[in-house]
Amino acid sequence: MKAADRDSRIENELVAPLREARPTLDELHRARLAGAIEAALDLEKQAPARRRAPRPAALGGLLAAAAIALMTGLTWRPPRRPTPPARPAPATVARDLPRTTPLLVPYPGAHQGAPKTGASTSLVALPGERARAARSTMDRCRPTMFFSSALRITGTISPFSSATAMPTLTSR
Amino acid sequence: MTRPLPIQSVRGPGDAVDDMTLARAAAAGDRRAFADLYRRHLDSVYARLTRVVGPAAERDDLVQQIFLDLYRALPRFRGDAALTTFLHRIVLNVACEHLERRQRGRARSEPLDDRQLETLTAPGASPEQRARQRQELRRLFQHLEHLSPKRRAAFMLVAVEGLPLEDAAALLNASAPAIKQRVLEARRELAEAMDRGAPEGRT
Repeated sequence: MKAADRDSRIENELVAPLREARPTLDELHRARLAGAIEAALDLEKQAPARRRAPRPAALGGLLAAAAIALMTGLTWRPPRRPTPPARPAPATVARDLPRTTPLLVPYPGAHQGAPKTGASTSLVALPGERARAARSTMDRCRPTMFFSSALRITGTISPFSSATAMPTLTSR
Repeated sequence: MTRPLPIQSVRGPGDAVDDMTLARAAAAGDRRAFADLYRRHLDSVYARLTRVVGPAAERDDLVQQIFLDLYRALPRFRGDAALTTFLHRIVLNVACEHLERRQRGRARSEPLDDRQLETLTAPGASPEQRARQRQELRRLFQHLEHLSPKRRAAFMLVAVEGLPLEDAAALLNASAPAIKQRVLEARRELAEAMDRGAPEGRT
């Protein structure tokens, strides 16, 4: 389509009807508009600072947006990564646990370090030393070997015979 | 209780008071002088606003905003240009802002109903003529919805109202070549919209 044809079409179909359209105002409409403008001017005169202040709707919108942003910030979590295989939790010290009665009560003087023990050959105990057994209790209780010298001393057995010696009375 | 703006002028028909005098008085707080300005310019403001934004339901709110803006701006009016130019710059600013809001979808944009279009029809026409005119106007404003606010305002001022390019440029705060370019682009877009047939505007 040529530009002239296009312009004539627009002129006939669009511009001419718009030129003929005549928006009119009746007296009632004028009075209503005048009343609204007068009321707005009175409102401005009473509260001139209100014009600069944000409107209640806008203020409410701002407050709502701030609240949503705050809630989103509080509940937001970073996207989860694939969880690695579970590892055993490291041992924690007892002070992190709730206060309960400890099962293992440290002995008095634990703060002084490990108790000193004297040499096993010493028969004199140093001050603060624990008593130390040369043999364990179980070792001492278990008869590992037959101690035959006592029987020989008492004459229960004869060193020369496996038979039991009988005490005999002898005269000199 | 607000005091209604006097509808009848406080001055007689023979009292030819120019706009500049009324503007100075209104800027000093004379509400009657402002009422005279309102009555003097309401028709032209309403007609231009209707051509630019269409017979939308929010026209009354826009008219109110225009005159409130004028009242606030009167202390800054120095008289370098005519008060009519000063006022109609406000009209076009308010209209373009409203069109931008409507195109961004922030403002309510409802289809034009017959009652709104009836305000544009010729009062003495027959009912059939009025119905045909309403149908035609509805289609025209749907085509105009395709234009950007600046092109729509330039097209209305130059093509429909017949203003010279310089006057339209003064009202739209642009150069005359820029206005000419906007009108050409508006004509091309309107022709394309009319060629497509059924308009898809949001009016």
